[in-house]
Amino acid sequence: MKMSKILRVLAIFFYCSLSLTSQTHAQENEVESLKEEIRALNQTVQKLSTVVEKQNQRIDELEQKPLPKEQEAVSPKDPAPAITVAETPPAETQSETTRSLGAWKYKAGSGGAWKLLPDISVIGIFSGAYFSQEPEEDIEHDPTRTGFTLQEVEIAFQSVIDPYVRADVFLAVGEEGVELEEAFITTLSLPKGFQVKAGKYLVPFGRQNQKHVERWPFTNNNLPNRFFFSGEGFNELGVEFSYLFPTPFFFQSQFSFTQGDNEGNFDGGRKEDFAYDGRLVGSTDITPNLTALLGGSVAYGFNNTAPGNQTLLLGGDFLLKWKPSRETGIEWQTEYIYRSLQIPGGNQQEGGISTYLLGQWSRRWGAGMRFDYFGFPRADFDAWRISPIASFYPSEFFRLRAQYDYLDESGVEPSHIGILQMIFNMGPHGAHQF
Amino acid sequence: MKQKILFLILSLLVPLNASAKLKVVTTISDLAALTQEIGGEFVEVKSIARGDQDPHYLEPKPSYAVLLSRADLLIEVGLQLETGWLPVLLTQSRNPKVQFGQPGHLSAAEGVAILEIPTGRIDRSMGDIHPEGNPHYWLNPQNGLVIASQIAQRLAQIDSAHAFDYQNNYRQFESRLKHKISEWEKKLVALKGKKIITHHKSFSYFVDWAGLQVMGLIEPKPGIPPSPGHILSLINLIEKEKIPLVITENYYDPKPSQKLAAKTGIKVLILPTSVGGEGDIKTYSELFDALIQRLAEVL
Repeated sequence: MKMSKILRVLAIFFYCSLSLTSQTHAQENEVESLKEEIRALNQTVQKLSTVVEKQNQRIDELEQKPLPKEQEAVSPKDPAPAITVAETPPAETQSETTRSLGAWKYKAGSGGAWKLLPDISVIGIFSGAYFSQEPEEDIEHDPTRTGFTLQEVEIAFQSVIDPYVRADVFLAVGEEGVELEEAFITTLSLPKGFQVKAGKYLVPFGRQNQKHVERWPFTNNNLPNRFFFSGEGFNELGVEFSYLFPTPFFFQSQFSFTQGDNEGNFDGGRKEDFAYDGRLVGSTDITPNLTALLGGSVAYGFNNTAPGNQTLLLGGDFLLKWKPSRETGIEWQTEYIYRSLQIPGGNQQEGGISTYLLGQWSRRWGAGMRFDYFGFPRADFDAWRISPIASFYPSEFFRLRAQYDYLDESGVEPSHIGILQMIFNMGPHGAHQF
Repeated sequence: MKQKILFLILSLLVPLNASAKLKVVTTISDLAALTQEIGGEFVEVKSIARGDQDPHYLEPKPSYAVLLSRADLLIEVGLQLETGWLPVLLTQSRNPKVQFGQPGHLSAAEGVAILEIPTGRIDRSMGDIHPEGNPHYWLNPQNGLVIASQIAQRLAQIDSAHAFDYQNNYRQFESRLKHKISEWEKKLVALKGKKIITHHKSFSYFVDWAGLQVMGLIEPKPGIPPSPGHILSLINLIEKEKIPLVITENYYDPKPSQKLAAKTGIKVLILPTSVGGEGDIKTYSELFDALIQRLAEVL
């Protein structure tokens, strides 16, 4: 029994020591493997640290060095972005610095509040002239004496005001001071081809009347416009309604309701003496390079010869323009104006026509000829004038013109006039109507 | 008879937009070609400038105002390329959809890497420069991908019913153009580094992509015709640098290039810059096919 007890104790001891030994071995193994893992982790962390360090160095280098052009914006060799139907906000609402286009980023133009300034341009028109007989009256904007004339310095401010209207303001600085030539708004968002213009503007009567001095095809105004509208042109305060017909060709109607201030035509003194103007104009491209335009105008109002005396103006104009390239072209325009003026004791009827041909054969050179006749029908006076002109364009923003006028007015000796004109344009490209 | 006349008048007054296609007007023919690729049968595309016209200077003809008055989307090059004629047409069009800032007005320059953005003080003594950078960016086919992507996004935005078609067309176009680009780039390897003279900076993007070297310009400054002194300096440059080729856009006066050729024997290449610039160039890819083939023949 004793022996068996001793054996049992020994067996238990042996078992316990064995199990303890195996446990110790297991723990030692575990510790070793943990150590291994820690070493491996340390190595990984060190490797990662090296990578991060290198990346940071690379980023610093890239930040210090200017990017190549291709990488500065979109790298064209990158995969194209997936097309999404996501709402693209209008350009002006996007961030000024970086805009996101799908997966791409690109640098947008830097800028600031100056981008909201209106387009500002200054156009100077100076001339030197010789008159064989000095003119008796001073016609604004035309050279009217031997020597130098400041025809006009035009200062223009043009901008879109909001999503609904744009505004155009033109100041004219002349020898007698500054005057407001035009200041008007034009709607941009009326539906169905309607448009409203309101403010002070050159009334759409014929073609010449709507042009500023720098856009005149010759260095001075044509005879009918000068006689009927004086130097300032038919320029009124008012509102114009126009409509572009949905025809296959250009066909537009304009109607103006104006204050009626034009001297000699619509300067009636009564409060109801407004002036009304209407114009229909159609245009089509006969060939891709040849365009024809036909217009008809009418203006009605009250003059100051006596209360209630009426003035009726009728006009017709025609333009044929062939422009195969920037460097070559020919245009032929003819414009006729008729006036019926109710005066005390009768009705005065008079009319005048102006026709010209202008050609350009190279980027810098052009020439033309104008013929004006006033007195068709004749009142108490008639005149005709022929005017050859040569133009030289050193650049798009600077023009020189030389013109000769032979003027024959009734009751006056014919006169010879030579005019040299210089026009310069500061600021953005001036977009002008056809 | 009266009824016939009345019918004629009424038919003139009815808008000719009976079709349901989206009406897209582009300022240049390349944008029209790209829009046609993406829009396919769902769009009716017209370009204001023809491919053989200088897009800087166009007469703002009334017929263009009519085109814009009926457009659902206007796509312009931007960067002031059209500034001399587009603003007046936009006002005349009376079309609220295509006014600047509206979804129907897209400047294709958005997203393109623009070259030659002037820095520092600028004025017109530097010629008729573009303050926002060179606008002839469509002459790098990689930019064609960006432009097409922009067009696809905008078409999808304003005509969501066909968004999937536009996306699909874009993917197909992208794949075709990328394949063509890789073909062209192989052909251009032989032309890399070749020296040339160009007339205007119209080819800046093309030469940048093709790896050509522009050694001089016939225009001393943008928009300024060359003086005899400038031509003389180009003659000296051609002889000194042994420049083999002068390129002139097909809407510019070729006489200065021809004068250089007569004096130095330099070859003259009169190249189109746009789709439709020559009769047989009807797609965007055909434009690059023609340009690369013509260059490879002479260089």
